[in-house]
Amino acid sequence: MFSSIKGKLIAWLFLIFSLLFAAVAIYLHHEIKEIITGAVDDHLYKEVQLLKDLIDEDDEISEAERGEHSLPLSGHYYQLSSPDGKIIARSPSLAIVDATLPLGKVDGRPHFTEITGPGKDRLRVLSQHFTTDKGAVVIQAAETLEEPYELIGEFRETLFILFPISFIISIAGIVIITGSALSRLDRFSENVEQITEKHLDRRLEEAGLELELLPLATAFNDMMNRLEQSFKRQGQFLSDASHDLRTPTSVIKSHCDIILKKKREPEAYIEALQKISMSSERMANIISRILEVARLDNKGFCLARSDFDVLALLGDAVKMLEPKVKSKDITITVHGESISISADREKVFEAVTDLIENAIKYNKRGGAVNVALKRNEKELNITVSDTGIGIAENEQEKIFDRFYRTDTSRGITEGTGLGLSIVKAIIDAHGGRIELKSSPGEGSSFTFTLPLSS
Amino acid sequence: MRVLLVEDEKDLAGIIKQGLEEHGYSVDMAHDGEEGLYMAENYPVDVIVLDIMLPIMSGLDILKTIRSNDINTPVIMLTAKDTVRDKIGGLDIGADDYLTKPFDFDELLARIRALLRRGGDIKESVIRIADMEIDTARHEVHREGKHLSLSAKEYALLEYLAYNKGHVVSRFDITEHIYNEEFDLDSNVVDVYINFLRKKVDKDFEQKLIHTVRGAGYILKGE
Repeated sequence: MFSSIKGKLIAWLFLIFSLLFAAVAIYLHHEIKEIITGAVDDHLYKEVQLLKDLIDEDDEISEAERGEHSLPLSGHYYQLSSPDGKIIARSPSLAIVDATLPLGKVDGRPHFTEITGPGKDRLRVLSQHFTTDKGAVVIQAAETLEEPYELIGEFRETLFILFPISFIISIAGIVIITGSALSRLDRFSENVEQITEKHLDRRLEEAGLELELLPLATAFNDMMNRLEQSFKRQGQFLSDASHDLRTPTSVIKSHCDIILKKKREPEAYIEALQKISMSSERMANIISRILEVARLDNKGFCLARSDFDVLALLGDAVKMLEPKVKSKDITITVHGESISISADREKVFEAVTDLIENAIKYNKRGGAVNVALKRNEKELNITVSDTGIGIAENEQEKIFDRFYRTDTSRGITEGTGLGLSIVKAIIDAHGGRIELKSSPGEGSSFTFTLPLSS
Repeated sequence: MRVLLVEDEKDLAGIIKQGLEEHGYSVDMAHDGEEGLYMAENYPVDVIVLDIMLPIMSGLDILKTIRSNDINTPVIMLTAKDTVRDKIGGLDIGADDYLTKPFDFDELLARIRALLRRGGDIKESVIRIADMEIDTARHEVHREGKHLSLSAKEYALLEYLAYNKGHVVSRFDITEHIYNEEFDLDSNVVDVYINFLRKKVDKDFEQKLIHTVRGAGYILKGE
C-alpha cells in the first residue's frame, strides 16, 4: 500500500488529519470549558455581590440571612458564615441535607474552589470575606457544574462522531482526486507503451497536458529524439557497412560464377583467384575498420595514454609508408621540433599514418607530401599537406562522415570510406580538432590539434 | 545483342563484361555516371545494366534522364542496397528490373534475356521460327530436331535476327547490335557472316528462313 502514491497520500492524510483534529479538539474543548466556567464564575461573582448587597441594604435580617435567598434543588447554593467558621445562614439546598461549604482561605480576595457537593455533584464555590455594617462575614456562593460538564461531554461526543465522518469524507475526496490525477499518469504510460521499436518516431502529445506532466512529457520526448537519432545512426551505419561489403562480395561471386562456367586456361584461374584474393583482403580491411569504428563509438572506450615524442612518431609513420612513397616517386618531408605529449600513441600513430597514406594515395606521381609539427601554449598542430587531386568544396563537409567516399576516391578500390571518420574519432577522443583546407587540382591540407595537457 | 554495363567497380565490371561476351553479347562499359549517360543516350544498346552508386551521377539520375528523353531501352538496376524503398524507387522511375549485389551471374543472364524478349512478342526463352528452335538460355539451335553447330558470332547474329523475327534489320543495325565498334562499317563482315549462317541454317533444308530484302537488309521469317 505504501509503495503506491495513493497509499502514501492516504497514510499521510490520516496522520496529518488526526494530529490536526486532536489539536483542534483539545483547543475547542479547552475553550468551551473556559467559556462555560467563565459564565459560571461570572454568575457566582454576581451572586456574591447580590448577597453582600442584600446584607448591606437591609437593616433587618435580610432574606439572605434567613437562608431563603435561593430555592432548594435549584443547583444554586450559598452560605454565610463568620470568619471563624460559624454558619450564619445557608441556602435551603444545604440546610436540607445539613451540609456546609468548606470555608477555605479567608482574606479580602475572592477564591474559587471546586468541591463535591451534598448531592455528589461537582460544585464551584466562590468564597469572599467582607466587612459589612453587621460585622465580618464570609459570603460563599456555589453552583453545580454538572450541567456545564454535561454540555462539554455532549460537545466531546459530537467531536468523536464528527472525526470519523469528516475523515472518511476527506479520504474519499483524496481517493477521487488522486485517482483522477493518477489516471493522467495511466494514460501517459499507455501512450508511452505505444512507442515500440517499430514506432520510434511517435511522440507524446504535449498540447493540453497538465502543467505537472508537461515537463515529464517534454523530457521524455527529448530522450526519444536522442534515442531515435542514435537508432538511426546505428541503422545507417549497419546499412552502409553491409553496402560496402556487398561490392567486394559481388566481385568474388561474379568471378567464381563466370570462371566456373567453362573449362579455362590456368592463367584465367590465376587471374580470377588474384582478384578474389584482393577483394577478400578488402573485405577484411572493411571489417576491421568497422570493428574499430564500433570500438571508438563505445562509451567504454578509453585512451591508453603514455608520454611520447610526437616528432619521433611522425618519423616512424613516414618510415612505415616508405614503400608506398617510393612506388609513387613522392617527396616526403617532416618539419618541426621535438615535442613530448601524453596521448594514446597507437591511436595517434594510426591517425597520422591514415592522413599521410591518403596524402600519398591521392597524390600525383612525383608529387610532394609535407608533414609539419608546431606548438603553441595549449596545443600542438600537425599538418599533413599534399599536392594531390584535392577535394571539391561540396565534398569537404562530408569527408569525415562514415562511409563517405568522394567521386574520385570511388575509383580507387582499396578505400573503405571509414579512414577519415576514424581519424576524426581518434582526435575527438583526445579533445582535439581536425580541419581541412583544399583546392581541387592543387592539393589538400589536413591539420589536427592535440591538447598538450590532458 | 548489345549490353551497356555501367559499373564503377572496375574488377566487377571487367568480369561481368567477360561473362556476357562469353554468352554472345557485345558489351559497352562505362565507369561513371556521366559516361554511362552519354553511352545510354548515344549507343544503340538493347539492354542497360546500371549500378546505382556511381561517381559524378547516380544510376537513378541516369535512368530518370534517359526516360525523360524517351529512351525506352530496358534497364536492370544493380543495387547494393536491398531495402524495399530502394527497389521501389528504381522501379518507379522506369527501371524494368533490379538485382541485389552480390547476384548470381546466371540470374543476370536470365533477366537480360527476359528483358530482350519483352521488346517483341516473344514470351519464352526458346524462340521458334517454322521448324527452327533457338534456345536463348542454352545458346542451342535445332532444325527439324537436328542440332546445328554455330560459332558464337554466328549464334549472336541468328539470335538478333530471331529477336526481330518478321522485321527487317539493316546491316547497320546488325553491326551496331552484334559486333563491337572494332568493325568497319564499310566492310562486308555482315554479308560474310550471313553467308556462314545460311550455310548452316538454310542450306540443308528445303524451307529457307533467312531472306535478303534488297536495299534494306535481312529478315528471319517462316514463310
